[in-house]
This record gives sequence, structure tokens and C-alpha cells, in this order.
Amino acid sequence: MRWLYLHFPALALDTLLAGHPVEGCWALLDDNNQLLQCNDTALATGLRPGMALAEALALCDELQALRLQPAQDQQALQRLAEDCYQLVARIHPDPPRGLWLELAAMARLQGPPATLAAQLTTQLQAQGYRLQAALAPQPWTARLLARAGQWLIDDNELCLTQRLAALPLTHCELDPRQLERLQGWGLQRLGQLLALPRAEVRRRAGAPLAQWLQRLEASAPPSVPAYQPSPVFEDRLTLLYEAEQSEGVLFVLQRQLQRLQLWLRQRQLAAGSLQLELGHRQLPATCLRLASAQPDGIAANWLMLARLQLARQPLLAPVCWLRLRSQTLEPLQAPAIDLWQAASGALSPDQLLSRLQARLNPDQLQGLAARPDHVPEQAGLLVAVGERGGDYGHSGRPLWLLPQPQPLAVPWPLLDGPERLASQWWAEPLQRDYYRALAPDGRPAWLFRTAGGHWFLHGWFG
Amino acid sequence: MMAMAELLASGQLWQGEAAASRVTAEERLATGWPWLDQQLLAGGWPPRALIELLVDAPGQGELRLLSRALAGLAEDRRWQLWINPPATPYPPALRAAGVALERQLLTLDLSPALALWSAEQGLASGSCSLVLAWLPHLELAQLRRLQLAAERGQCRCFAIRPAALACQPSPAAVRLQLQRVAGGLQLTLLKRRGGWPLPPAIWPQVS
Repeated sequence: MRWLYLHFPALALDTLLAGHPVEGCWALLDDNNQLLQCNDTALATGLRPGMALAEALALCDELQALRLQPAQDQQALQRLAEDCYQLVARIHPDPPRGLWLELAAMARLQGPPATLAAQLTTQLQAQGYRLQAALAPQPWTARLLARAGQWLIDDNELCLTQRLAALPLTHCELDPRQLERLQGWGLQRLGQLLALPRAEVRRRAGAPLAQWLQRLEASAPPSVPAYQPSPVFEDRLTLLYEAEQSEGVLFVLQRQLQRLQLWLRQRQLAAGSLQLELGHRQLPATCLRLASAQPDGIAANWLMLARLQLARQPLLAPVCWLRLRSQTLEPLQAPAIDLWQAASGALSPDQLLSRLQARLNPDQLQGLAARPDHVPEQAGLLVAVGERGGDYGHSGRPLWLLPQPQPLAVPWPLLDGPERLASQWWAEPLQRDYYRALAPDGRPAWLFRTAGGHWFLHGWFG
Repeated sequence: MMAMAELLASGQLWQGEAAASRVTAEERLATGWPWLDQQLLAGGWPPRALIELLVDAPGQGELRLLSRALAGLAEDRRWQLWINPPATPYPPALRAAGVALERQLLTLDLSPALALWSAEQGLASGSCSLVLAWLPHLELAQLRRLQLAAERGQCRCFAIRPAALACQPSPAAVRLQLQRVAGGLQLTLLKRRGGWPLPPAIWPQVS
């Protein structure tokens, strides 16, 4: 086995800044106003993690400091594991900011471990992550070297042994008391400790150090659980600046949708609907549902729908974070496009429907259905689009029907009739005599007289 | 002969009736009245065009005329989009006229700006065979946009507008005024592609 350990010293900050053209000093703070993570400009100015905010501001008065949200590192690590899963099958996340990747098993697919390691690290660096990496047959050795800042990914056994032996004990993250004891023996380098007989070490320094050494040299997989890909897509991103306009939200959403597109393509799925949560600082989060009439896996189409939906619903408050979740997923199917009519259309009928649904309110978009019923109001219905009614036609009916019959004082000249319509015996009693009549301006109209002798206008034939 | 063909191809020579009547059999959409088909020169409603129907009040007979167009395109699997109809169209009557109900898409109570947006989306998408739009307040530039969108999406757009606008200029390919008179429906072709305007004619069959 070949374990590549990736350590991200500033994971949350790098995730936050990725994709933004960032200038100036940025840092993340903990609850005690101590610096946790700094970007490169901040490091070059002399800021260091662990510094107090007051001291940092004295060094750099243009520092942009953000507070680290709980679980921000965790979420970023999950995203990274998801990204790496494209190339590597076995991933053990090491919270808060590390990943173990097993590369030897992927050799037939992705090439020798050294090549794959180089590819992975280059890819992550191109995305804006700063990282420390080490490749070793033993997972804990890789971890130790990576965290000590030894860049070693060429899979060379001799080089590995030399680097390990030369590693100062102060970089080994040992318990301070043990470190002091080892230094008291005159040991400075890890190689000197490894050269001692193991039984002697156990007797003189205690079981914990012996176990530490044993773990370091063991090639068994790390005991932390391996990464399991999630059955639903979920992505949460914190915005660098609070977005007051929908354009700012769409900019970040575009990145999330790109991830969604990749995620869907890898699984040969298409999304039917998505849930988008917009987090505000004080108000509860706004929840939007994006739906497509035809399951879709293309980021640009979803972005269009989100743009329309945001045009309909203005933002209630500035947005701090976004969470995108897939709601319904379906197997990817090639769209059935009519060969002869495809040339004319930029959109399929379902895409047009999705677009209208995203922009209009649900009651503003309707379909038509007819069903056999004596009562005219119930024979013709407005239904949700896509819903099928019965197949019922009647040539003696008007083309326009008024939503409510309008009372008429005097009937108009009658042309044709009567046709008596009554409701079924179990329903509310209703008896109407319908006539075709001519309105004063010459339009043919549909009137009825109730059993009580009152006249009503119910529709137009034109 | 060669020069003539070149002139025709470059569009510098006006062909009148011949150009307007050059419509393939699949594109032909009959109006339901042979006389009108003949006068429109394309054998019916011109394809890829904006058609204006000018009516005084809803119910003059415009939907009777339109239901034939809707029925003529019942085999087309694309949508037939209604923008802001003034009342609810009655499905059993439409079904009896041969209209495919499952292809109808109605938008109701839209603001003028949203109505125009929906009409343009429908027209330009190429996934509508017909757009029926009740748009009273339109400027010349907006009508022109609809006309261009109809050409792009290969779709016919019927704009139903008040008769008071008859004397205003319009880029529509056909402008038809409908009026209910004693003998039936009076049609006045105010404008048509490839021909002169025509005096009013009465279509007696329309009840």
C-alpha cells in the first residue's frame, strides 16, 4: 500500500477564498480572537497563526478578519474528499484538516503512485489550496512527514528513510514531557530514536511512546472510518462578502452548480429538483425550490432557472451562505428530441416549461382539461400543467366561459334553445335552461334561465 | 437570366405575391375560410410571423378563428401558449373544435412586462407552435421584437389587440380587423404580405 497524506494548514480559509480574485491580508479567527489561518499575503506581512488579533492589526491595519464558523473545516474536508474520490477509491478523512489517500490500489487505472500523487497535488494547488503532502507505505509515517512540512511524493524508499531519520524530534508532535525526556537522553533526530532497541524504549520511556513508534512503522490502514460518497448532493458555501443583490448569490451558486454537474455526471444521474437555502445573518434562512420539468444535469440550465426564480423573489436580507441540496434524482436519459423539429429549437418543450415555471407564480401557469359533466363549470377545468383530464368535447358549448355567471335584467334576442342542464341527484340541486342569444353589439352569447326565472350570461361563442 | 436570379437571391427585387405564396406543404396552416386563405397568399396564416387581430371586445369571433389554427397544429408536439387571455377558454368547446388540450399552456394575470417576457420566451424557444397573446399596450419596438422572436423560433404569433389601434403602424405580417355585423363576421385585411389591403368581407358561416 502507498499512503498519500495531504495536510491543509488553512483549509477553511482557502475554501472561502477559492475562485475570488483576492487581494490584501485575510485571516480566520477563533472565539478568543486569535488568528487560526492566514493567506499568503498575510504570512508575507509577518502574521502567524496563534497571534492575537490586536497584534495582527498592529502589523497590518488592512487585515480582513473573519470568524471561523463551527464545522467549517469539516465541511471543506468533506468537499475535498468528494473531489479526490474522482481519482482515488480509498480515502480516510483525518479531521480537522487532513486526508489519507491509498494510491497503490489505483495503479492500474491511474498510473504509479508517484504520478498520481503529483497529479492530485497539482490539481489541488491549481484550485487555490495550500497543502503539505507525503507519500509512504505506512499511513502514520506519511502523516508525520506531511505535517512536519516535508514535501515527499516521489515514492522513493531510500529517500523516505533518510528524511525520516533526519526529522528533528521537535517536529514529531510528541507529548512535551516525553520530548523533554528524549532530549535528556541526548536524542535530537527521529533516526536516533528508531535505532534504539524497542524493548529498551518501552522499559525506559513507557508504553505510550513504544506504541507511538509501533504505529509509525505499521502499514495497517488508519483506524478512522473511510470516506463514503453521499447518496444526495449537498454543498454549503460561505460567502466572502454578504450578497445584497441576486448577482452576488448567482456568482457563488454557479460554482456549486458546476460541482453538481460533475457529481451528477459521475453517477449518470439527472436532478429533477433542487433545494437552495440562502442564509441570512439574523433572519431565518430563505428556502427556494428549483424544479425542472425534465430532469437535467447541466449547470447552465439550472443557473438560468435560479436566475429567473431570484428575479421573481427579491432577497429579504443580505445573504451570508448558500446551501444546495439535490431533492429528486433520476437516472440520466437522453432527451427525446424530434429529429425534424430539433433544428428550430434552442429549448425543448420541457425546458421552456421549466423556465416559465421558475419565473411565474404557480397559479399563473395552467393547463386545460375537459371531463364529462352536466354542469358546465365542472366539465372544463384549469389544471396544473402536465395533468391529463378526460377526453370530452361538446360542440354546442361556447369558447369563452365566464368565471361567474353575470345576471341580466332583460334577456337578449334568443337564437336557439333551450337546452336543459341539471346536476346529478346527489349534488347540489341545479337546473338551468341554456339559450344561444345575440348581444346588443352582435356577439353570440350563451345565456341561461334559472328555475326561478332569472337570466344570466355565462359565455361567449366568439 | 443569371442577373435576375442574383437579384432575387440578394433580395433587391420585390416579388410580391410569388414570394409570399412560397410556403411548403408542412408549413401551410389554413384559416378555415378558403377565401381568406386565398387572400393571405400563403395558403393560410403565414409561417414564422406576427399576425395582429384587432377586435373591439373579446368574443367577436377571434377565438373561433383561432381555434381552427390551434386545431390545424394539433399534430405538432410543441406547446400552444396563451398569454393573458381575457377570460377562461372553455376546454370542451375547444376539444370539439379539434384542439389538443394537453398541448395548451395558459398564463393568466401577468403584468404587461411579464406577459411580454413570456411571449418572447415562448416564441424564441422553438418549442411552441403557436403563441396567442392578448397584449393591448405594446410599443412599435416591442412588436418588432415579437416579430423577430417568431422568425427565430419558427412560430406564429397572434397578437390580439384593441381595434382602436388599427391606424397605428405595425411591423406585423398580417393585420386583420374583426367586427361582428348582422350577416356574420366582417374581416378587414388592413395589411398582408405581398398584396394590397383589401376592403371588408363578410364571412357568413360563422355563427
